[in-house]
Amino acid sequence: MSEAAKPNRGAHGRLDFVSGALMALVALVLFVWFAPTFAPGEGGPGQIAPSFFPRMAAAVMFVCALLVMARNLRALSAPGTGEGLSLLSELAGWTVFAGGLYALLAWAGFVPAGIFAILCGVALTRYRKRLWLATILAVGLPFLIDWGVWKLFWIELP
Amino acid sequence: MLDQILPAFEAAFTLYNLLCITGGITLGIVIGAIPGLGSVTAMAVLIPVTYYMTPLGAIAFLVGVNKGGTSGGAIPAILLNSPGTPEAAATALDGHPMAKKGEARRALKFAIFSSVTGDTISDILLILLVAPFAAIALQFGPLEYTFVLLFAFTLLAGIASESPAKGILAIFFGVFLSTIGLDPVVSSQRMTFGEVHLYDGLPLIAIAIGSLALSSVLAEMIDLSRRGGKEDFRIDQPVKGASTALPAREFFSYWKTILRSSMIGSFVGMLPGLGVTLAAFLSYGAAKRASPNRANFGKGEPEGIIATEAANSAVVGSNLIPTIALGIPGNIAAALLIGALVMHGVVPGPFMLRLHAELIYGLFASMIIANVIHLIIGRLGVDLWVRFAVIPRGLILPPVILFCIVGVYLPSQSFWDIGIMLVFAGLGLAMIRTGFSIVCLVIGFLLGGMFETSLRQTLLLYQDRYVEMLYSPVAMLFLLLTLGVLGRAIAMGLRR
Repeated sequence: MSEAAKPNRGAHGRLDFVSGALMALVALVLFVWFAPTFAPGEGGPGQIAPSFFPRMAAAVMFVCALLVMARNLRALSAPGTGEGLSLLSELAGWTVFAGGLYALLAWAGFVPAGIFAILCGVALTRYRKRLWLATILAVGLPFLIDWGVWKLFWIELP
Repeated sequence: MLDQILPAFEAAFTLYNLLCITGGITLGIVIGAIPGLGSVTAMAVLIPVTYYMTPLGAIAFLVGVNKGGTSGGAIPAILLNSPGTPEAAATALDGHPMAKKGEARRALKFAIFSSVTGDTISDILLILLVAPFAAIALQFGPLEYTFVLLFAFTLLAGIASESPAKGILAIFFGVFLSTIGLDPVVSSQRMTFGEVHLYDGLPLIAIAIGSLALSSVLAEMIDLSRRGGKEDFRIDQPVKGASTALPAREFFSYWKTILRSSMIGSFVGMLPGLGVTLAAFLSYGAAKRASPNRANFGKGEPEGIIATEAANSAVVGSNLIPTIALGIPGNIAAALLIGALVMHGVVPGPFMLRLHAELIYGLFASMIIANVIHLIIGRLGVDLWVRFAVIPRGLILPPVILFCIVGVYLPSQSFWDIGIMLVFAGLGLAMIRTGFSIVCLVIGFLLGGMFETSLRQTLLLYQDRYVEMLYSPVAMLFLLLTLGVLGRAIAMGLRR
């Protein structure tokens, strides 16, 4: 998995600090507002409140996020590498693609969504060698999967 | 034990089960051979397919996928110097130099033979040790479970993540997510917003497929795009006259390395949280130190391949020891197996050997049978696997998105689950890029329920008399181990 590629500490220090700060904010919101508001604060007689455990998990997250920030405090003075922006653009791209894919699945069904997903994937990976093969794959595979799932499991894909 | 294992072989030796094992191993090798995928992706995507199999067939199929995927990772490592999985990186150190000398087929044979031998030794240890371990685990109460889980979390955070703080953060984020749904004790709604889909909590399969499989494929595709679509490997042409044969006698002349590496892999697999990669590199280091040919390591020394492949495959069997005895997965593959067991109505833990003895011993028998099938398929298919390893990733990665969608949709037939998977794919991508461990997140999510129940029971049992916790030697042992691991991590962090 990609996790094997351990990032360079110096280059990642700023990103680590920012991600730690973001997680600290998330944990704080979860601890102070989200968990107590959306989980009952009172258990039965002699019971622990249902909100206790989520709040405890959020508290541990908050402490760890602070530790991540503290460990990378010095990296703030280092010049930025643009990784944060690159990650934001990747996430924005994914959000648009995933939103489109989900909408296509809901309105047009699995086969058009599948064709869209493979064509976008091939375009993203900049595969140029055998475009005829990529087209056959993009059109044929969704049909094949749709047919195969019906034949094997008697389940109609969306 | 023999009175249970012999009938289990009879139950496992059916055409249906053999087909499940064969299919699992073949798919595992094929997916493992594709750089950028690997056994975890294969298991995550294929778990939902097992929904329609018998419990034994399903688990045997997934064990086959894991075995095949682990050894399949060696194929691109040897041929392309492009390890598809982290653990195969150690195999590439000596495997690729052998391939460059024209001995690619011999290197692949060394890899498959070592993999199967390590796996078999580990499976035998599993069969021998799981019952005594489960008997000990049956004596555990909520207090002991709480501290065992804390130890597992700490160990996992230290190994699977680049910093323990980031690892623990990811684990407790997973734990927090596991609290969404109905409260396990008083059944009141927690963070469900009245949404019926959330009453049972977030769907494990959607989270596992989204964050483990889809996110890593996505990251691979983006990286490929950044390189302008250029593959980062090339295949070396075979050298005429180079040796391709590997007689069994030559292979077993390395019996010391095989045995040592299998033991290292088995030991690492038994400890919750430690991964296959650690086993591979520990074993490689040990083999290098012990070998009279240590100067040849890194230049195409067969012992290097044997050490890594025997060790990483030995993890596969032994990581089921904590999974079955305690319900705590040894690594992410075992965590996914727990997900599959739960899907089939089997609750992992020490009672599993009593309540589902037929299934568990059937699984053991299937694992031994799988090793024989693995040897045959791996050995006969060498030329074929090579073809899968060199398929352009621009053609192989995009279809995985479709398989992920189908994988999530099959068991639940719910758009909600597909949406959750897409969200967690984005989260997984962000975690990969920022160095947070997805493995920690998924294991935290999986074990969150167990941790909450045991902690809440402990707090209720020992309220106002917490000193009595000190009277449990098991709990104190695991508390000391946890503090030791944390202390070591802090000391190492300060040294950096």
